[in-house]
Amino acid sequence: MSSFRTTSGGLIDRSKPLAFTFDGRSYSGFQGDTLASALLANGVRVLGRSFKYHRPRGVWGAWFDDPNAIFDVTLNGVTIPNCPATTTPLIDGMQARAVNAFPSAKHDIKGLLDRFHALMPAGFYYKTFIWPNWHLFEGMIRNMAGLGRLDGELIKGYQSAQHHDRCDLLVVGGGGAGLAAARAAAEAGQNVLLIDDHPELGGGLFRRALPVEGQAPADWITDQQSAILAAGGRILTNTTAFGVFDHNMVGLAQDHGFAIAPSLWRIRARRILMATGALERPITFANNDRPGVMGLDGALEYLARYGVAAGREIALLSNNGFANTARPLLENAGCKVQLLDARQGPTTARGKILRAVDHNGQRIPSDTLLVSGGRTPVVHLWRHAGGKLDWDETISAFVPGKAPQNMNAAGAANGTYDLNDALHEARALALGTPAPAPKTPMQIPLLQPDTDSKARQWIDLQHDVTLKDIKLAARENYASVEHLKRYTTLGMASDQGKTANMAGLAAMAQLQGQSIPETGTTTFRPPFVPVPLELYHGARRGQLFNPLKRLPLENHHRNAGAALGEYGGWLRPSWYTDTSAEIRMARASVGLLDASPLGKIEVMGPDAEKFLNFIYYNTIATLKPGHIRYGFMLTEGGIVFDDGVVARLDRNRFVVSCSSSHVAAVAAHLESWRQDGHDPDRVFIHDTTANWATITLTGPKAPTVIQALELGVNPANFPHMTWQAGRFNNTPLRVSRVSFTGDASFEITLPVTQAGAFWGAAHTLAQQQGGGPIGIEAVSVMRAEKGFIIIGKDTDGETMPHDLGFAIPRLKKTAAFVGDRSLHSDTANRPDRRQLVGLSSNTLLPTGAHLVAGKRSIGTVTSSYHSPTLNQPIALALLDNGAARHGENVTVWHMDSETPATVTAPCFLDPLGDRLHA
Amino acid sequence: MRNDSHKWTAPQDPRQPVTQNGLTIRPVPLQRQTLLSGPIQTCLQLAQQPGATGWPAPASGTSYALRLRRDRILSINGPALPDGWHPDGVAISDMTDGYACIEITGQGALDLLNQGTELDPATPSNSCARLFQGQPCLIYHWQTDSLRLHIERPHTETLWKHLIPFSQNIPG
Repeated sequence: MSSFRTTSGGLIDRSKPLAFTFDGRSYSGFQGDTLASALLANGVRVLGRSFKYHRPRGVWGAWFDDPNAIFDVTLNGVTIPNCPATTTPLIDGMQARAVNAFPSAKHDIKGLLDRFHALMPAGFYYKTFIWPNWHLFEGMIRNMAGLGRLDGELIKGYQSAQHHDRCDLLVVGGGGAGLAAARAAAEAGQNVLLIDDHPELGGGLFRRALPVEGQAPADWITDQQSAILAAGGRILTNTTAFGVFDHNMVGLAQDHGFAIAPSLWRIRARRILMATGALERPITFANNDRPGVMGLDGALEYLARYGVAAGREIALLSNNGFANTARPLLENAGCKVQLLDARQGPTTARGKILRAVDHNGQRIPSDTLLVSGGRTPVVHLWRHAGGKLDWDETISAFVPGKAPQNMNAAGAANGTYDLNDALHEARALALGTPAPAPKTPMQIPLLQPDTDSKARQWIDLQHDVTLKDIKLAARENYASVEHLKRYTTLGMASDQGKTANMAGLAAMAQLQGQSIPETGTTTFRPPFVPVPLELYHGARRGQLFNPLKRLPLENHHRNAGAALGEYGGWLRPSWYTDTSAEIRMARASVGLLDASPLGKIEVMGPDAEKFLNFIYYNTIATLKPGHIRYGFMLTEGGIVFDDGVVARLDRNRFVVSCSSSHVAAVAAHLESWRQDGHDPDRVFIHDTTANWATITLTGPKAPTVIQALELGVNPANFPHMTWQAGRFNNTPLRVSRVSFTGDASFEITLPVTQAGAFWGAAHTLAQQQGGGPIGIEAVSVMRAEKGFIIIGKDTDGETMPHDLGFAIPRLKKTAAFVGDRSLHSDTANRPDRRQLVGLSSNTLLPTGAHLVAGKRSIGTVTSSYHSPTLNQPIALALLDNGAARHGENVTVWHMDSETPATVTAPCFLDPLGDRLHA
Repeated sequence: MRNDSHKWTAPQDPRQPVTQNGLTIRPVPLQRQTLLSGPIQTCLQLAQQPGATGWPAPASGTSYALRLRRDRILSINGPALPDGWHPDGVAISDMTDGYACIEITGQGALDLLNQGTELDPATPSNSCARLFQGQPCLIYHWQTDSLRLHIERPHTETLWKHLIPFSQNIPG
């Protein structure tokens, strides 16, 4: 019971007591406390356990820099895992439990692991668990890994609001420099947004506890706040800038309290002023992880904000002048303070929970050791934005160097530790004028760890990275800081090394005989502090998580009892009654299919013909108006990218009817090639797919229905692969004679607003012929009966057109086309290329199954169905050298079972096309 | 066989106007929408418009044009033009049924849309083409106090499903 609540002071409301529990024990605090401050006020010293060795941990800091106190917190039946105790405001009734500890942080049974620490150095599991099989150990290790536990319950209404906003000047940090800058800019007429992650503004001014420009800190802060608001500035508290992204986009997370999702603000700032302050830097010495060892700034924060003294007998180990100003503050709170010079050593913390400090040969009884090894400017946002860092020898710290565009740093974040200097600097930068040179620069010597010591000295408190681990990494040549980080997990804990990184760099620099700037830093990446995934999630949930495109006739299909499913980004009818029945109906009479998602990309202009001849594998230059041609688009690598038909409407106008799921990709493909190598004034691409519905009539009775619809077209004089203009309800439409089923088919393309009426009329007439609507599943089977492919299903990332039986353009097309050269490479000419075949078998083959020769895969089943038309299983496959293997028997392997099959041509139905041309 | 119908609510067609928190969101029926690509002045002449709306200047009147990119406009309620290649070097396509138009009226209209996209009245653009919640659309000021969105019709249901809850976040 060394830490205690002072009798007065702090920003807490002592008239509002709050009750809570920690690891099952009851405690009390006040409104305005954090969980950490309330526990310290109750004299609790052990607030957590380290990740690897389960060593007891107290708090190091008072805000986001604390790596130790992490709780699962329950309130009103809702549990939030991994709450940092130092940044979680206390609420009456909270039940907190330390993560990674059982049954409590104070008495953790896994604390025994620390006795085996010699067996668990850095990278031990990389080396230990490789034999005989990592998977033997994986379960156990995964069970031990991780921190908090999810309770598996969704939190009702937990949804982040997301906003975009902008400002002239975004000031990050509401301390002295930030407030001064925001006020100056706002009063100069700038659109200013000031943010701070605390509930109240002021930053480090409270713990400094000295007048600011002649005013008490609280009064000065209130004046700045009022002036900013009066000048039209905006202020967001409880808000963290967690990242800077391209073009001065800053991500802000605005906290709204326990179990309420934070809001995401995407702020586009013309200028950013980083006034994020600096962090206390730890000192590396023996047993420096013991509960009771704490950062000086953290202790002053607890005192100033929460009225909590960190201890009664305090040893203050420091290498700088901050200790001198801190001493009277602590003594006024009733603490006994002894200053220790960190430049003289060695220092050793004594006691499992601190009870003494050995320093420079002297034992000093103390319950708390406050440490100040200098300051580390908070430069994360600077680095996110691409700014450089310079090493400042006078304060032994990395400070902002070459600035990213439209970004400045002021105050402690810029290495300007004197408050008056910081205020002048901030105001100048806010107004875009040169910052004056600091009048009172500070000298802070660099402290190097004692690398010869055999004692255990902690670098990363959460991940249990010790000086010994850094030495091991150096010995094994993981000397690069990026390798050091990954090998030892230094700085990879939830605090992302805010306290550990500089200590690790200093150690590695010393071991390598280098300076710290020569050693370098690891990469700073967003988010600056952990944020819930919900922050990014926002409204994208349920039907909006991956929204599908909706058919204009969807309600017609629903009314007809259709089962809907996702097909290539569209919600489409899978089936209406029964797929087999629909197939038999369509083969015998007529099927009605909503094919609206089919691409309708118009290519227009005097160079349209030349352009499409270049885009398509097949020759388009010979396509006459009124005619349609099937073709492939290839990638530059010669791989089949899409297939479909292209219709020539007139001399200068074509319609590309690409696959339903590829429309956006094909439009982008066309636009890309239009702008590269073609005169962009002579050919234009319009994706008009959304404007048109496409309804297909397929089957032997399709011509009858077309005739009865009185569209002004003559099905008796309507050859396959041609189109004719017609009218319905006095609206122009196109009728195309193309087929994806192998039967005579007509695709009617008409404006979306006419689709309902047309569907109704066609449906009635089809029913009179014994037909009706069919779903995508039926079409999928019917096209497979005919051997028609679906790109991406019956092809893969290596399929070229000649693998599908379309070899002539490769050999004879003289005009250049996309992918041409790649079709003549050694790879394209390999004799064992995987080619499309059919498979005949007595049983239904699993799609995706391998065709095997011995244990080697020689192909895969790409499509497999029971054909109601043929009353037998059919399958398509890609098979090595398949075109030459028709008639061979192959083995189909799937899930340890083998099935014989016979290789056939890929067309199972009407190979001569009698039905197609009927 | 799989049936995912229940996962997707049936689209409301036509959508009825929604008024809440001082905002009115309504579908706007348009007589004609025509896509024109080519030299921009020629496109405007064919559309019989003096200029095309980008951002943030508002559109007004019964007939106007929207600028999509440097060589493309969308003519709204303009003259009937035959689809295809125009001899003056312009590609023309009817898109009357291709885009749905939704209008948001009220003081918080911009804040509503800023939940799904980045709209800064102080940052002008010749184009009104945007991404709203990842979906391509056209957004522009309409008259004095409204904003209009055009979105490809298959995405209309998604847009409504975003706009209604977004409007609930606007202080009334």
